[in-house]
Amino acid sequence: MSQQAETLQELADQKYKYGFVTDIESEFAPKGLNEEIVRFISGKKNEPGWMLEWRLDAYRRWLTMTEPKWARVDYPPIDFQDSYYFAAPKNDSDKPKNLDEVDPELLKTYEKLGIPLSEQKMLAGVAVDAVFDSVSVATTFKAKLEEVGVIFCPLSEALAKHPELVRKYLGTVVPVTDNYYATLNSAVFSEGSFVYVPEGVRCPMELSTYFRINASKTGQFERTLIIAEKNSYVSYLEGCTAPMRDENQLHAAVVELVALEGAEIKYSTVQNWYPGDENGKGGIYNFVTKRGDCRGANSKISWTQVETGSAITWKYPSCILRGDNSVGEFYSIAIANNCQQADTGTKMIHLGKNTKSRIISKGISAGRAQNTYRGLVSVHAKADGARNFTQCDSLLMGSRCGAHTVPYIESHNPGAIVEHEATTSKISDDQLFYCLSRGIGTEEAVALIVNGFCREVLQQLPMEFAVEAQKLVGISLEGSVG
Amino acid sequence: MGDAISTGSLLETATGRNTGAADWAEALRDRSRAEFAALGLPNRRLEAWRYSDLARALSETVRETGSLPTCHDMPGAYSAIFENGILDETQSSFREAGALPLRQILADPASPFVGHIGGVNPQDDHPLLSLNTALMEEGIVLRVPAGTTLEQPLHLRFDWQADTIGGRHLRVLILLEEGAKATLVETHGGSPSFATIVTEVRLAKNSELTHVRLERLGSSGRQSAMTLGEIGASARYRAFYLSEGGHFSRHEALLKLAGEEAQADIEGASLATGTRHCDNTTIITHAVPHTTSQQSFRGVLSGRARGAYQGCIRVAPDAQGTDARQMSRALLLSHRAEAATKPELEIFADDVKCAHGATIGELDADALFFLRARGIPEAEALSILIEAFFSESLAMIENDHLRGLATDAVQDWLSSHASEVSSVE
Repeated sequence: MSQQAETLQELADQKYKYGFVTDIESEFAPKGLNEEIVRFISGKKNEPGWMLEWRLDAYRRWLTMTEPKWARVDYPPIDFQDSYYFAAPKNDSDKPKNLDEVDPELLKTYEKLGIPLSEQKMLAGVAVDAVFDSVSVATTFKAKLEEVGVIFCPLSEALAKHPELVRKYLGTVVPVTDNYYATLNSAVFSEGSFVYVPEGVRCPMELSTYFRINASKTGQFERTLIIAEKNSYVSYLEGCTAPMRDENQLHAAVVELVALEGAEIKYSTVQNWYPGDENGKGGIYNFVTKRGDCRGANSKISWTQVETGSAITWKYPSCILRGDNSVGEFYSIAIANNCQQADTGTKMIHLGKNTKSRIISKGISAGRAQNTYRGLVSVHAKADGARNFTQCDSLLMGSRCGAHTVPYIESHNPGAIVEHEATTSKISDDQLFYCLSRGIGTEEAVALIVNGFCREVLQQLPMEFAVEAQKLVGISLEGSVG
Repeated sequence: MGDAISTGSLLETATGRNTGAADWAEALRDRSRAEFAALGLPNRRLEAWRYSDLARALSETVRETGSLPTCHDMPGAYSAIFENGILDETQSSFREAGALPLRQILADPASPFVGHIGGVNPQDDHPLLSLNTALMEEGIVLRVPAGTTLEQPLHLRFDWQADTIGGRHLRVLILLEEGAKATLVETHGGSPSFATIVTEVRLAKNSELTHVRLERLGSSGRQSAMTLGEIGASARYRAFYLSEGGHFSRHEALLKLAGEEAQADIEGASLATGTRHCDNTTIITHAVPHTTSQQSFRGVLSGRARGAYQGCIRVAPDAQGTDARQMSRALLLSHRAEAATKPELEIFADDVKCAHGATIGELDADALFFLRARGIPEAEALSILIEAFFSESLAMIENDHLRGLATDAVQDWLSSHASEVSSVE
């Protein structure tokens, strides 16, 4: 095992590949958080008055709230006044119309990240609305989307062009009062994506956004709102990498999905933010509120996530199954290595008749990491015929990590069937031996076994992501067996 | 019948009683009293009490509906009879088993049990444990010497037929020395206005305890019981818990597998109708390598009953080779019944096998149809299916006599509640 251990050690020592800082002048709001900052952000965005009021209301509520402490994560207290709440690349007044007009520094960043923006047109037909720090700088394939009537734009643009839509749906899935971080986000969110798919339209391409946190000490507070009208379909991809930082950065995003009758939304995430170094120094604090509302009958919302980054992950993408026969799905891979802490899971709230939900969660802990699945399946009294299946599997690598499962199952309806199963295991020596004896190297063998462990989830990802995710799963873990 | 009880009224009781206890016991009580004063009665804002709001249940005045049930019988056993929380020595035969009343122990300044009482698998921030220690007066202490087997089960009978103002708090301590074997049967009947019962169990190397709890409380009964256990090397704890719920009924099994090859097996059954509440909570800590635990809890809930199962498996760092399994199944027979399950795993070691499963659903419609098609009336068909549902649990009880006792308890419940069970809705 010692030779393996060495190989693995090398892998474990790999530095975060995507850690670099692009030198671009940022325009900051002054440090700290107060009503003036909220007004400043709103002013910067040229927002309508009601939006400012909404933000201020959220800010005032936030002041009365306390940070949630129930998650199994441990971190020093966050000084919310010691952070910048707005940073925008300077030249945002005249937005580029094509790639040539984009700041070449930015393009270089994308290239380093491996986002093939310039190749995008030839590739899988993915339109990218890249959020760099807080302002979106390039949007492609817009024309094609406009043809079918799909609106895919930064939230600030949507506020200007389609205020009635934003006003109708914003905050209806994750209300201003929802939780500490969501309320904070409501007050200071600076950018995000807006998607509107009209009735009967099947979005012709996978929509994708890359969020990046770049300027030092700026919390990023995106807000995403996706609305799928009757009988429409949209698949949305979100991927993240961030430069290396020594100080913890706060990230509190909110994602709201609304699926009306017969609509389907598929939301996929690959999250690979800087997790901190092997001693737990630095890394992103990722406190995210994601929720989908299956408002209409026969609607479907599917969450798929691959969480490999962040020092702390606090994230529970949920589905409110309000419409009869609606379906919620949650597929998750959460990998925690070194000193990472992940507390993630989902909530499935069954309100409508014959609603169905499926939860597949794969947690992998290595090094000194703590990985927790925390989930709720709740069946209300009127949800006749509701059905849930949950499977939570944990894989432990190394004797100093922890894997925890905290499922809550509450049923108020005798006609509902709720099933939960969970297992915990390690990579068995037999499996490893089997691979090694066939000439497969340790590193490959571990990647193979882990990928096998996660297969059910990886299969759910769109092609573009599946490849990246598979690599990520392999790389972020191998360091820890031995 | 129970009147409102609050943290304050309980603390007043604590100052009002003087029982002539020895200094060590008074010190233990004082410390626990301070802890309870700081923590107060638990409510649902505390994670561990999410499905059981004791503060609220005690703030309500409740009236008994129907006649008061009595304890299950256990002929031929060494007995300790508690009438309304007071030990009745004249009817009891526990001294034949070598057991002693708690009062006697608490009054003895040089008791060999100092350090054991309140010392088995101690818990931090457990309000009811502190309350019980602060107010304990009655109870039983049993030590079974090394290598001996207690011939008959020790039967603790807790019968609550009259009002006990302010509640009663009982404590049981069972020490099995190396290689000792014993059977402990607890039966609970009637309606305590508020009772806490703590059973401390310390099992030395190679010892074996079989623990049967049969709870048949009235609809206004309010009881919170705890079994605290420390299970030594190669020792075995086997348990069967049956509960019919009450206005408030909770049992916590807080067990620590403290020696290698220690083993704990728990089968639980709960059956509740009406507006009853029934909570089974377990925390099993695998503290050392190569320990095994197995739990299986089944519940049937009808009417507007609320059932909860919270089971936590903790695997300490370095407790390699742990094998822990946990299963919970709940059957909902009515639209207004509620079941909540929280099967939790906390794992800090990698070479472990831990699995849990949980299901909530209704009786299989096909099975019901099969029986109905053969001319079996619906109520009877339901009874048959519920009995079958519990039969796997009952089959796990190795001792024929105890299995018979438990099976009778389930059947009793089925026959006396047949009408409530079959009136679905």
